[in-house]
Amino acid sequence: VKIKVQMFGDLRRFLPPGSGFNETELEVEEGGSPDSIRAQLGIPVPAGSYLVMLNQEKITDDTLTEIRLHDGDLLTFVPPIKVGIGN
Amino acid sequence: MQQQLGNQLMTWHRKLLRVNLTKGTCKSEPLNMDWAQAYLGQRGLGSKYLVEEIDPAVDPLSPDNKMIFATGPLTGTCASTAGRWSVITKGALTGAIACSNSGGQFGGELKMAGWDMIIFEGRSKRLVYLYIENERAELHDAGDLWGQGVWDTEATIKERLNDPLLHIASIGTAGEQGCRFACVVNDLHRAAGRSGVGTVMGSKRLKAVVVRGTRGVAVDDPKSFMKASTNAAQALAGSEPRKGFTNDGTLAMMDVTNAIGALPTRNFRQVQFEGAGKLNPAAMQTPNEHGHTNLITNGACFGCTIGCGRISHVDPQHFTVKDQPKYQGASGGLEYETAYALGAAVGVDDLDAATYAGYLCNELGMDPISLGGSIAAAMELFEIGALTTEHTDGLELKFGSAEAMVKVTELVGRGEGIGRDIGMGSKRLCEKYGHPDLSMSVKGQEFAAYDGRGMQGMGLAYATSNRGACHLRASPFAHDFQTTEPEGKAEVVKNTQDFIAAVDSTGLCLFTVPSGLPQEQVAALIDSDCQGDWDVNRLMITGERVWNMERQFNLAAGLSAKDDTLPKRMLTEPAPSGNAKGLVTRLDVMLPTYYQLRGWSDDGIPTSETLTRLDLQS
Repeated sequence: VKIKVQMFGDLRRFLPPGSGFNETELEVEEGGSPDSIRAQLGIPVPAGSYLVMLNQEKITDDTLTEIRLHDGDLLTFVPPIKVGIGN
Repeated sequence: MQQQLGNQLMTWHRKLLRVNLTKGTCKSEPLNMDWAQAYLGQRGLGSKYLVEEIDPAVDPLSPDNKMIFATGPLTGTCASTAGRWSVITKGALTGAIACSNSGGQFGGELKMAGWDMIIFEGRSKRLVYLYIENERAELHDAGDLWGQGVWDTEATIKERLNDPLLHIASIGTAGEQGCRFACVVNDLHRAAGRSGVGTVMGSKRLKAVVVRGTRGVAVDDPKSFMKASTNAAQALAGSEPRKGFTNDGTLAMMDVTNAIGALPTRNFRQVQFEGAGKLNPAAMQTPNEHGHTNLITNGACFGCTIGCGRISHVDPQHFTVKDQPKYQGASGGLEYETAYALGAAVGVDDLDAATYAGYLCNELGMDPISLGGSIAAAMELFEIGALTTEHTDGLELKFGSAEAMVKVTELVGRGEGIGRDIGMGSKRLCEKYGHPDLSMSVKGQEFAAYDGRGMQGMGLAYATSNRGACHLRASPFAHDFQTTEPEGKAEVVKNTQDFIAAVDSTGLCLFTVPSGLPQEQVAALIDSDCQGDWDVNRLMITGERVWNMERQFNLAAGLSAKDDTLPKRMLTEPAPSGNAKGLVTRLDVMLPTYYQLRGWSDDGIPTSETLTRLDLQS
């Protein structure tokens, strides 16, 4: 299964060497999940400080391990807009 | 010369310059140090002077309005980003209190010249500029600068005075022509941008303020201050968000807001833009089909260790500049707000066109946010037939047309043709052409680059901002990122409004905190810089005092709770996609809670208990 992974902002540092500016293509084993991709790329857990989107739809943390990725999927990791001021 | 009070060094010079443009006089007077203790500097102290000195009901363009250039206590020190200064006045765009904040080098230079603040009053009979060289301050004739843009104005004055190290804040043709969202631009491409502060400057026939300062700036406790500023620089150096600002600038936001569905598109009819990928950091940093890369490097203001600014150049083959060598060199931009306003808001996905139009905003002296918002409104008016080619002298003012966007930018900046109407701002424009609901504004000021449905807290922040819709008066970003549920938004908006009001009064850049500087370190900088004990709690109280003082001014100016609202589109048209798909802005839920947390009545009026608690009871 081949998917496209996008990362924006400072999350780009987790893209593997040789990736494009903010995206890369990954071979994923059958049955792979967003959570397994996150682990493979070394993005810290828990989530919550960033959004995960599959094919431009937000997915919730509790489904990260359940969802199965399919050929051609677009998985996007979106960093926080800004850390809070006075929150 | 370092100022001293008793045996202590002082961050303040303890003097302001009062310039009466009607009489042509420049006089030094003592700074009110009691007010500096209660309101800090810059936004807080400048607003206090304005509130005390003008009738809130005054016409913003009358000689009776005043305009204040104010530094903060940290301005000109070696703390990271401590070069900020503000223009405070009654806004020409809004009729509300206005405070526009700028960076560059000008603020630090003004403080180095020995002045904490300048108050301009009256109106000159002829066009003049103010020249300051340390304690020397005088008005010079500027008649020959009429019609010049900011860039030529700076070059002409530097050549005339034979001093390339001058720092200059000026207006371009937009401010001369009465464009309601004209700004004051300093150091070529930094601006006190919002609310029409440049329009007020133009109404006073003041073309520029020119500063050369060689005095020092002292602090209250140098040893503690050096420790605090070193700690702050180290906190920023190691911070990932800071690196994000440095690497991608504010433009990094484009991918994020588009992903979550909070990127206002085509006058807020959509919340995601299919062309966002042509306006993002990748587009700016990747060679185009001609091998040209838009971004040259990043740029920093006075003492800044973040460097979020962008220095770019437009592809010389692009239609905007191919016959204009003047615009082919390096210049300031593109920032996120400009990319939104002159990109997504008008449905244009042309990076170089937005960059060029951003240059024009700097040169002619316009706020790109209000410009883009007003062009977007005009494009919708055109689409529904309320504006026609008869009004536009044949220009097809259609969403997606980079050519039309650029042409209108030129017309607005020069006050020509349909540019005069669009230069009134979207509120006046849409009222004139019979569709007031199409103005995406609050208190007459256009929304910034965040949709209030995809970011519900930002919707509340827009509705309650004292200077009209603004993304820099509160910081609900993190909370909005997590949820579109309205619960909890009012508290986040209220608290961040207060803290930002304090930071805006220090001389620091607001971006220090989202770049990784903890609030406690901001307080440590102020505590070592100023007399008195300063901690986060005192900063919060000071910010709350400033916020309520601004509110009182607006109420006296004739604004009321009915102005704490949003356009019909935000309240009745659900977001068509993204995280907030199907949602409108839940102002009905958030606003009553906000008033309650503020200690205001149901009518949005601060109670006497609130005013007493904040020492604002007259």
